[in-house]
Amino acid sequence: MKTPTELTFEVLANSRNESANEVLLAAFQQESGPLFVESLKTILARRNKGAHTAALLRWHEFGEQERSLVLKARSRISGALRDAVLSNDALLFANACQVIELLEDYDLVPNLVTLAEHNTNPHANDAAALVLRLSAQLSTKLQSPAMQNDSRDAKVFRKVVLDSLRRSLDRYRYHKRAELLESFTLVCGADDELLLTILDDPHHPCFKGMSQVLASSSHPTVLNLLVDILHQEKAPATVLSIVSHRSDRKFISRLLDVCGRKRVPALSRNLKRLRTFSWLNATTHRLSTFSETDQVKSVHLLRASGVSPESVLNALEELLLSGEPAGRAAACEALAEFSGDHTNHLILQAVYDTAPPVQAAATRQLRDRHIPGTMPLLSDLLDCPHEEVRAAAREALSEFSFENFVKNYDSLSEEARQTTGSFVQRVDEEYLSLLKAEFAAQGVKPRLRAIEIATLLEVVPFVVEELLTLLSDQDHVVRAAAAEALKYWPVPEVQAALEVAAYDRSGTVQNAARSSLAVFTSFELPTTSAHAEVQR
Amino acid sequence: MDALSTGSLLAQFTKWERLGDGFRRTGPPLELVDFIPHIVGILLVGGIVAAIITYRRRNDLNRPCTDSQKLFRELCLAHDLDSGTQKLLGQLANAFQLAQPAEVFVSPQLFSTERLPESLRAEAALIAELRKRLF
Repeated sequence: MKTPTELTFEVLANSRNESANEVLLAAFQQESGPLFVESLKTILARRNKGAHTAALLRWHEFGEQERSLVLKARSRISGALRDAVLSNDALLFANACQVIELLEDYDLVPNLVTLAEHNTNPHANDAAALVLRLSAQLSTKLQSPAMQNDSRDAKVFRKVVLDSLRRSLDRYRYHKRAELLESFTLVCGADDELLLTILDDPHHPCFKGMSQVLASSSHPTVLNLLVDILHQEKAPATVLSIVSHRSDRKFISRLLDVCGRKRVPALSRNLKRLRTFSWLNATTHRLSTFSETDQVKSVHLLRASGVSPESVLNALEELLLSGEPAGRAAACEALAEFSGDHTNHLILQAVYDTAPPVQAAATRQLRDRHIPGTMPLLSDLLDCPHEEVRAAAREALSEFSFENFVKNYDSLSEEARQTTGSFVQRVDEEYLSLLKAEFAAQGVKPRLRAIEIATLLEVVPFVVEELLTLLSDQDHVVRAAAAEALKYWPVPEVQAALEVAAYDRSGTVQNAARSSLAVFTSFELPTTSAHAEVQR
Repeated sequence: MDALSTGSLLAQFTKWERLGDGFRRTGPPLELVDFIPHIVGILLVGGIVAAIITYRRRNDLNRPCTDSQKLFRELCLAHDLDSGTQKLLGQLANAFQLAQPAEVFVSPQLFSTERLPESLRAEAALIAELRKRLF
């Protein structure tokens, strides 16, 4: 059931009698109250520019409720907004600008651009500022993930705005509106033909202004644009120069973000064309003050860029000495590309860093640098409490593998075998399994050598099963050597096997077995449980 | 079909001889007065049609127009006001010299007893009742 007032306004809203507008405007003259709100609602429901203009004139007096009513009538008030933008009434213009911005009415951008171009118009500055704000809103909209899923409207708006701005740039020499240039950079893409033409031609009327915008704007879209241009096959030299010279933190972060990701070939090529970064020498933005992740990214950027090795080395040194742990580690890794005493000195310093990743990065480089006295250091690092560092030391000493040891075993002196063997035990974590495999090798010699190595490395208890198997080897020399080696593991199980071997068909084996058994008699054999404990 | 119409035409052949009587010099000449009844008839029909059209236009609320009186009637109709009440509302609009008589429907302050002009003081009770009904 409608109230009488609702009925009145319903009739006024639906009436095709134009006199209803005057009646509504009379009701709208009230300061506030339900009739005022109802009249505003009804005015907005009708299509009458004059009444809409009257509503816009009072926009600044409206509360939240009234403003939301106006914003909901977006499609109906666009005509009045257009008229208001072109009107000379300062209050109406200011109110319309607010509404346009809140409505994000991009259809009015061409009108605003035209207005902004007329420098003599009292509203030109405000119009230019509004175009810039709307362009910024549109660029945000275009880049938001939600819009990317359903960007049809945004693309249409972009075309409207971009077309009007392009036409305006053709007349730039006359109006010189920097806001319109910046607006253009906010909505054009990195592959925009006009943008690239301007940036490639220093004689273009917009060149200077555009360069200034790109060099100074801190709008995220402009920063993205600069970085996106770096992804282009032919990035203009102007842009490379701007990228080199920008030293504001926001831009540096954006640039570093790109370098942290997988790089396309075009970007890599363009980065190589960058010969300097002014922020490397800036006192305000020292590398060591960057966040930890940015320090890592900056190392990647420097390595990918065409910055001189001296500058890169200086930057890496700064990071290594006063950066965050991850930054120090990245810098240390990057130092691998540099040689010389100074770098060697830095690496030796890094070995004693407090952060294990830095230590590890330095440790990996010690051997390749051929720094005198590094072997004892690496040997010490094999016992480092941090697994990461131990692994790096093992990596640095990778030539001390069991495989190499076996290969060169015969040519080594007894003393060298002892020293190298114990080193291999510490470096090659797989040595025991490789040794076990050696027991099953083809040929007598490798099997004999395996038995000798097991004795040398004092690992007989760990290869007992393989030695017991060798007691049944076809070759009597191998059987004898196995029997001989087993004397180092006096357990009942071995004793039983040796007692069987003592009756081997070969006298040599018998002698060896008996000799080992004789050794056993000097020990008190452990009980089965004690033996299991030892094995465990 | 042609044969049928031809047959029908020939069947009335006897009337053909009177066909051009009024035009012959020999017959009596036509006078203007002879047309008066026809003209009056036509004017009468035209007047009636015009009156019907005007009446329909006046009451066709769906027709686009700019008519303050019509809007007043439209609102009165929507509120189901009788002719006496409509007249009283009209007097109220006149008394306050409203540009649009329909403004009385959105101006409750006009119904205030204190503000009523002298000529409408006698109707104060009715007007107060009307205010309750409209707002």
